[in-house]
Amino acid sequence: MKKIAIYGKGGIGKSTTTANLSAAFSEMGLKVCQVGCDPKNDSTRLLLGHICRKTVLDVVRDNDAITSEDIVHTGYNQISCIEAGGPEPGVGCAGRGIIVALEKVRELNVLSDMDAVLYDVLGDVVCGGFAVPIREGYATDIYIVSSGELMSLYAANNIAKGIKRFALRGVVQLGGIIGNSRNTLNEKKLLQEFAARLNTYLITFIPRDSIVNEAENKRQTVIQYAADSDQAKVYRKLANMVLHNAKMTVPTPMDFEELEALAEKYGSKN
Amino acid sequence: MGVKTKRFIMKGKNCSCSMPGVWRALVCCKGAVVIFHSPRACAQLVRSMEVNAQYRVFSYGRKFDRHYDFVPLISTQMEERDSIFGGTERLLECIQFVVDKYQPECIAIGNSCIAGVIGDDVETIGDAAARQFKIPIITVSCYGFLDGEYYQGYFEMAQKLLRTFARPCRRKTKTVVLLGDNGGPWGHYAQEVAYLLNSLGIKILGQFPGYTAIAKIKDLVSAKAVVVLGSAGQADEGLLKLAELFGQFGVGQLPKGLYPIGWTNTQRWILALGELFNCREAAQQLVAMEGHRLLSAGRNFLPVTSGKRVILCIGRPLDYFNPALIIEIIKVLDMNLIKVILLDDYSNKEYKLIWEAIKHSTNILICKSESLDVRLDGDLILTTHELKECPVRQIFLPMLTKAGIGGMIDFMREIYRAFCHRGSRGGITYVW
Ligand SMILES: Nc1ncnc2c1ncn2[C@@H]1O[C@H](COP(=O)(O)OP(=O)(O)OP(=O)(O)O)[C@@H](O)[C@H]1O
Ligand code: SF4
Ligand SMILES: [Mg+2]
Repeated sequence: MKKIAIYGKGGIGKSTTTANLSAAFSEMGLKVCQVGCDPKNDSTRLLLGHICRKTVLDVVRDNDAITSEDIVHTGYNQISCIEAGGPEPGVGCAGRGIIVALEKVRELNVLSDMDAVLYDVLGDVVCGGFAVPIREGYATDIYIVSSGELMSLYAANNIAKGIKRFALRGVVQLGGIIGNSRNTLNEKKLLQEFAARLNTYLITFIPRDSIVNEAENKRQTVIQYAADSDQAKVYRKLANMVLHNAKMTVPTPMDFEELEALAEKYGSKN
Repeated sequence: MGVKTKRFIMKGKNCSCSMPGVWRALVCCKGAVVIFHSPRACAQLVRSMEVNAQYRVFSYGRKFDRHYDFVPLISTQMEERDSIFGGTERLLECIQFVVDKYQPECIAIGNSCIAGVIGDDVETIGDAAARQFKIPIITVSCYGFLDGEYYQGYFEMAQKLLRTFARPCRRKTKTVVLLGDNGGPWGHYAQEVAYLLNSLGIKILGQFPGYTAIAKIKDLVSAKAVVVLGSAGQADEGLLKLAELFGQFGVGQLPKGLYPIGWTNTQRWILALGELFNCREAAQQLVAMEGHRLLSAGRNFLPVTSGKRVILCIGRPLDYFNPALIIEIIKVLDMNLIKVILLDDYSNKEYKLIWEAIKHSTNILICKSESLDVRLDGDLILTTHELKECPVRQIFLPMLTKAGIGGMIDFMREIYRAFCHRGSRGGITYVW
């Protein structure tokens, strides 16, 4: 079973990329489950065609006894969709929520017959709860989504620090950087060098394309909405690379000054 | 050889939970109910404190007075789901339950660590519920051990209680309020002070915080003065602030830091009362009487204690333990203090303070427990921490302060008994 976690700065395109990746895997005939680890509950929206109506924590809150049917929803192409859920903004503890939700998922043993499980983790990893997918061995292959913007790289570098800590302990490794374009200057080259500095590589560079937004408005992945589009092909290629990725590494994060210098090197016109 | 203690000696900062402090500030305040916004297990600590307090009362040979019943303590019993979704709804339900079941005159809320970690806004819920149910609901700003400890909960609650309920009123002459706990009204300290005040014809309006019914807190500020049941350090700081708060209502106090502990200070304390309450002559007579009481008690013990060689071992900072009383007792019993051993590593500052306090009372040698040439010899060891592999009989010094001549006599009796025990090797006696 492929156990994948997708991290990256808030709003960078993790959920969109993960959903398209899940869709592409399912087209390849894999049994796929996508687990949204974000109290916004929007990770699986493009697969379900709506915001998930019953999250794991919704069920935990109301019942003591839970069955897998309560929490596993079926989306596009038979993909299993789970949302951890969490409290309203500003109350309670979402990190604790993720821990409890993932424990429940494990307890119910709903992932055992999957070929691929993808964890889509909230953008700003603010506490230990959000490190649980990698800390507790739920996921083994970690990918970081980033654009060429400095703050996106900064977040990616911080995530790499976390991965390094857990990688040194065991099974977790970094699979690569997924470039999701924001059309900044020399973006692809910058991401390639950034990845190299982190001791990994730019596994795919996803162009920025309005088809993604069109599909999103229709509550669909690009793979479903425009199956023959170039963008869909990019996601399929990514799926293929992830599935056969042999370059798993322990990252070597940079310090902030180094990162700034790198962004400046590629980000100026001359 | 060095000296080793049986238990780990706590160093540096106090690191207790603030919730039991909140409870203690209202422990027997009839009309109040305490809520712990916490998992159920956090209330367990108070349960054992309650049992201990009861045993202590019995060990003093006293009975519980019905109007000093412990107030109900209710836990919101936070669960996993509350730690995720926030516990404020549960708190509100709990307040509703308490109002329906107890019709309290006041609700006090202590906050647990978990409520602090997830950021439950207890104060806002408390204020809203106070408006809804039209009763005072008092909250504190500390959460479990996170941003406070026992005394933070205790004193914050005490100050808020006073601010909420006290009203300016006419002064009653020859009345006082006892400030502090030290084992409550049954405790040795309060009893001894009550006896001395009584001898001067001074009436006690109540003991605060913890032992005055909610409905009576307003009258406390009609007292002429507060009498602080202090001894040393951390608790005193809070008590003195509380005394200042009483001062804002026109209530006076004795000179700061003067407590009836040890013979010298008891005399000064009685004379200060004489000044404050304008009964100097009666105070002087009382001093003479107490002096007589001490000497005649001492005389009974002298045949056994005189000339005995004693070591004093101290492992608490001055904040928690004042050596002056013990050193005075050693003198009254005509015993020979051969050395003072300071246990474990005090911080430099703590070491200096306790060293100076000891030097203030005696010129005897002070050594550190880790020095290899320190020997445990002599006839008796008085110690704040039980010592390992100690060939000499030990007397374990109590946490709660023993006040007045009564306190000294109790102590002397324990020492006397220790010498009367058959055999002279090893063993430990606990003084309550
Ligand atoms: N390659 C792309 N081209 C155009 N738009 C994109 C692309 N990738 C993502 N987007 C858009 O960016 C927005 C944010 O994407 P998404 O919700 O996937 O981000 P996220 O990283 O999951 O955010 P969060 O951290 O809030 O969960 C969406 O509106 C999405 O349609
Ligand atoms: S310290 Fe925290 S966990 Fe311990 S009893 Fe207090 S509130 Fe509960
Ligand atoms: Mg997302």
